[in-house]
Amino acid sequence: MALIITDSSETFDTWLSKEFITEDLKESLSKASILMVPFEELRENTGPLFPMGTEEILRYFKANAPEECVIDICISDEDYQEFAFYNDYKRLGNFILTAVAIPVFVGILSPYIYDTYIKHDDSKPQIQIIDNSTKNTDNSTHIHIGNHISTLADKKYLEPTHIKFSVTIVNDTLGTSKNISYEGPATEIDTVLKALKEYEQ
Amino acid sequence: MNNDEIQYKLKNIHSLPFPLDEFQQQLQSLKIQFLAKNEQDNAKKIWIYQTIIEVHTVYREVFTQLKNKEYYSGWRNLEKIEIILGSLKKHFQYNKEQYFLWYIEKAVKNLQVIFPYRLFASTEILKKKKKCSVCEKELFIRNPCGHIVGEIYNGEMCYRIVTESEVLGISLVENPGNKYAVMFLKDEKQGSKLITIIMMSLIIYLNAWNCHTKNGN
Repeated sequence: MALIITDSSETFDTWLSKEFITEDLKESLSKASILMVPFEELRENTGPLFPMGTEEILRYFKANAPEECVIDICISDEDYQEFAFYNDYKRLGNFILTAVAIPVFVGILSPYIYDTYIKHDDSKPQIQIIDNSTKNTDNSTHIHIGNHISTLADKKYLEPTHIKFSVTIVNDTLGTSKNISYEGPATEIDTVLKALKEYEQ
Repeated sequence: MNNDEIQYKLKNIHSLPFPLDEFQQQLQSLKIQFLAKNEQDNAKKIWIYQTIIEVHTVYREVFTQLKNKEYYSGWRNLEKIEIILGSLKKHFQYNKEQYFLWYIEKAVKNLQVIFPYRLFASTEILKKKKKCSVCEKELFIRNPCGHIVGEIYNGEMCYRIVTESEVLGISLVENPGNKYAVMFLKDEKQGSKLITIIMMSLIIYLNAWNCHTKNGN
């Protein structure tokens, strides 16, 4: 699990003043408390990009947010493009939010991760490697259950789902920003969101 | 065909005296009748039944392919089953007893464990334009058509069709999004001795089995 917290100079204005944001769009985005923001230099000459699945996350956030909390995406319809890197890290994308919107963000992201990844992983039959070379005193077969099957079989594709995302929290009162990025098992989401909540305003 | 008949056939799907294709076609006709009356819930139920049959069809295919030592084809179909079950679970949470699905899911994982494949190609794709499979409208992120990916409309699952794309690159990974993208060494044989031995001992395609090792190997 890699949870990295750093100071940041990023604010909502940083994104609203990007060249791909028109004046009309800027006015609309300025009402947002939570913004999905693109990757800008992921690959050469590609422009701003969002990860595959952005459409679903944005829909989920909008459907579950309270009316007073505006959630938006920092791109026009014309400029929207997705990248799909076909390894099994689920990229949720980059977010920027006000410190007051942290409870809303946590309250939506947590069930999203659970419903989309953890529940799915938990529903799968657990398989075991049974080692007949080691016998217990009662002569029953010794079963390795301490390690995950992906480690025992040395097959990374059997690992439980890993996720990757980044959140920048803007504290308007203090005039500071913090960036929290996470890369690791989806099951550790509570630890990550707990770290996020420490910056709640 | 009424619901009792469908349930009877699904419960005995492993021993039906006729091809699964025939059962699929009967359900398809029924779905068309439901759609003519705009009975969306019933059409969705039929989609669930059809998907269960598809899982069995592909699993039987895997079993035949592995018996015939067509290992890579079998491997690709194992992934296909994973994907189909993933779509099914959004609409139908099965228990250990229902329609052998839990058993098949476990067998898929067991088989994946014993395959020797470890390195895969991961394509990096830029998706410039997409359209909806239901209404065929171009996707606009700020003004979506309203159809949700993975939901069932008119008895079919909604997905996105990429209409304009660009390949950015290819990476080598151990944990691929697409398991079919196996990297083979030039002189590597298609499968392994271990799979051959296991498949020789699995006479019936719905035999339950686990992975046993000796000396930690």
